[in-house]
Amino acid sequence: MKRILLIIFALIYTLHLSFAQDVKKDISEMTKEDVMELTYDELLEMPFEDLLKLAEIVGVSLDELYEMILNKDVVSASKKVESSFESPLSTSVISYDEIKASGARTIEEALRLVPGMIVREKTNGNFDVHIRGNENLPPHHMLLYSENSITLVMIDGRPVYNYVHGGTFWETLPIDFEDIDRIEVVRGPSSALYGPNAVSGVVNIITKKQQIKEFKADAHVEGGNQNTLITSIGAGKGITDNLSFRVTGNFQTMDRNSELLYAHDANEGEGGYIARDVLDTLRTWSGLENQWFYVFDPSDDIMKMYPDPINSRDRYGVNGYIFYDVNDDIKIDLKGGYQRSEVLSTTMGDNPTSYAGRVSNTGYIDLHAGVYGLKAQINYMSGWQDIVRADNGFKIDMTNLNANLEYDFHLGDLNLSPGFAYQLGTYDDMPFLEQDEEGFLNGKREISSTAFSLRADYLMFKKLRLIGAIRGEKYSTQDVIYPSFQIIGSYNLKDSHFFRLVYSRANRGPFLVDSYANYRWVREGRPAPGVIYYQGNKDLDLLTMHMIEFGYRVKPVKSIQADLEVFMLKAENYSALYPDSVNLDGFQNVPPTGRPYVNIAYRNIDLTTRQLGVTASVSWVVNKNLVVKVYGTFQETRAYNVISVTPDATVIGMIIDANLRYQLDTINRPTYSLNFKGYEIDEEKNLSTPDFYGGLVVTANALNEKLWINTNLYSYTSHTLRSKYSTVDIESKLIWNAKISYRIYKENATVFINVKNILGQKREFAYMDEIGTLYLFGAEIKF
Amino acid sequence: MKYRRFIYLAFLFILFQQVQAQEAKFKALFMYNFTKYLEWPSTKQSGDFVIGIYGSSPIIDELGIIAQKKRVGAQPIIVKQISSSSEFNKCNILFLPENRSSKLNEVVSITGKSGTVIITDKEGLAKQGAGLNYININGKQSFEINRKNLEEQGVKINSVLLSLGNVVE
Repeated sequence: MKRILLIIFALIYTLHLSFAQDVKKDISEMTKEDVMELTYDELLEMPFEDLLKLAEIVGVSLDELYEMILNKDVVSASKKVESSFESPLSTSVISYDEIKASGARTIEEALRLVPGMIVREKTNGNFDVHIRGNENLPPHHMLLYSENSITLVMIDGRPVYNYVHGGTFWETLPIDFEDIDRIEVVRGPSSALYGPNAVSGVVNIITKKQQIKEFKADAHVEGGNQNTLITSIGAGKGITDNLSFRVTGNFQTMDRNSELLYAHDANEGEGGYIARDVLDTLRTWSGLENQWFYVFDPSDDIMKMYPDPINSRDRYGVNGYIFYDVNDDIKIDLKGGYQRSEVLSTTMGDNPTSYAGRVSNTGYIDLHAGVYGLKAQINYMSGWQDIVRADNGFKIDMTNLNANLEYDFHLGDLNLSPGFAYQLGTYDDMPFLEQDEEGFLNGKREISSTAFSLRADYLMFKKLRLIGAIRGEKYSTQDVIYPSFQIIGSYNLKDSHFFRLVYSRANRGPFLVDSYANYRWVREGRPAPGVIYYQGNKDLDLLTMHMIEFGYRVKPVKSIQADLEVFMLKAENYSALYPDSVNLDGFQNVPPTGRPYVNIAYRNIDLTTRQLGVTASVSWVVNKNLVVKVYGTFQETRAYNVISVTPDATVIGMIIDANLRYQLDTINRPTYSLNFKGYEIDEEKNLSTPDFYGGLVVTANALNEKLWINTNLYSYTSHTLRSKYSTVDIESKLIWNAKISYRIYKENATVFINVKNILGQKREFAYMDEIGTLYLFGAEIKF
Repeated sequence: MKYRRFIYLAFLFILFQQVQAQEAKFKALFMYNFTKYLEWPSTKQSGDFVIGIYGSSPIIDELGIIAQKKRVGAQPIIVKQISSSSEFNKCNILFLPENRSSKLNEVVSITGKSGTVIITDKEGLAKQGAGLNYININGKQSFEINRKNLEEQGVKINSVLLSLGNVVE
């Protein structure tokens, strides 16, 4: 019996040994755990080819993972590649993988992953995006002044800014997920680097480059409730070793969760959500259900203005990229594309409802050339936009031309970069005006700017970096040259601590309508004034922001990076559309009936704001399967010389005053100018910017990287939007999203469930939709 | 509850350490294998085979294990942490950990054709002077090889090595 047992044992042991050896011999079948169990002696005896295969099985290195997640490369802070740990400005980068993992539906929503960003959803897929706030200024005015006109958004350095009223129409970006390599955000005034409108910061979307010769394609499709469908595809191939191309396409359609439209109350009370057909009945100055609403002009065609009030966003875009790397020193990229978009979002006009459609149809071409130290970029965009759909005067033809030239001189540890920039925008509303109709411009107008810049970047003792940048901008509309500066000192202590101190100053550029408005509004069937004349002003002092910022980054261990920024901002030279004067003699063609006409002009106001805040973020690569990022901003914004009443209230005051004087002097019928002094107050804080906003992102994978779970939270505290129509409190909100993905075939095919706004229905922006929960299902394919 | 949290954190820490060690281990194994395909000038084929590590790196411990078990030809392997540029030329291999990448130009200019092979650990450095450079392609550990740089560093290359790595120029 013993012998039998011994034989069985020996057989089992022999089988086990031979089996184990077989496993070790067949490297292609080894698992990560098998490799981890191999001894040094075994590994040292292996041929190098086998060792390389084993390294593949072991997979991603942690160091690389740390670099990929914690310390991504960034170009926007210094216009050259550097690690985000050593970036001299407050900089964040979100990669394509992070964006995809988060389940963001749009580029705007992805910005919720970035510290220092305030992102609120207005209607399904359409967002209000701000860097560090400073929104709704001046308050008690049109919704136009809640738009962010102080952040410069660019695609590969090409501004996608709306120069008509200022701001960014995000839906008009022709690109989508499969175009994007990463999004870089620089917080703080950056005009010295990028020119006008980089006041609160810069969002630079960097597109992918076809890196390999083999054919490569990616596709993303997801759909769900509220008729949501999002698709994005991209494919590229190398033609030769140094010539490659890439093409992409995207399509999105999304519905609101209600087709009602908000109607403003005429007495600055609470308005209400009513159906389009009911809105159409608000043609005369009469109440509805005992409530007084603003009324539409008799000429407004409600059905054309809101042809599909349930639809929030429809857009598509196509893009083509050609990359020609002649050699390491000469590289040429040519990019071009076309987009069409329609959204229902906040109005840029002064409509009785807060909603307006916006339709855009544009194309672009963008040429980049790098020849040794010379960097040249020239791009041209052309198309039309209907900024307030079917409302007279808001539809325009437009072109934008940007040309930049910069040269990098390397003189030892000193880099000197002189630069030249030229911008030209042309805008024409005439092609869309019928006979006798008036637009805002009533002709073709243009704004141009010419700038020279110089940046010096000096590294002392390999640790201390000093940067000075200056740019002088001459706008065609302004008489003076606007200077912008950046002075930075940074110190890198043992690659674990990084300190920086920044002073910068930036300004907003002039806008078309602000400079050239020329519009007469005859207010038939409305209360006084009988005529309002809108007047542009080319002599406006441009909004300017100054910042002092202290930053500290630390890597206490390799797997953690923390970032702290303390900022003090001051903004001045605000301007807005305000009554300028009133005349009872009537406009030229209006009989002097005693009904006043009012001149409304773009005017500088004495408003200034100061911000003090701190943004902190911590990213922790817990291990290869778990990454956690948490970030938040606490800040306070004070506003001085705030005009505490609406423009309409000032008009009424002026008319009463003018009438009184008219009765005293019927012969001269003088013009009375408005003085704001009686209306200005200081405020302890600008109520529109939340005191806190931030988020948490957790990405985990399991089942040998087959199952991926991303859950992200974004939150802001309560705040108040004050418009000329009313004051609206927005409650604090916690937005919870989750995306669960499963790789069904290697890394090539993934299916996922994406749930947005799990905690339910709540309004994020005044007068806009109560954002509901979205359940999306989709797939991603790459090969 | 606290006890459980401690166990969980301890588990994560151990896992983290294991994976980190595994990575350094493969870099060290790669380095040893490089020596099989490179021929140093005769002046560096006698005495100790010196692998210098500029600064600190977990690779030092791994190379130490290999040094106890293996030789390069007949030369015993010595692993040295280098802190001074005067020691660069004494090395057969000089490894620049990722956090010393910015020193590459300085190292290249000092070592010249002295038979010191420069190995780096950051993407793109094989184009900037390194002979061999560890890279990570889609999460997989590999290496770049620059024939011209290696020849300029004074060593001859067996073409088999070129077929195993990513050749850059």
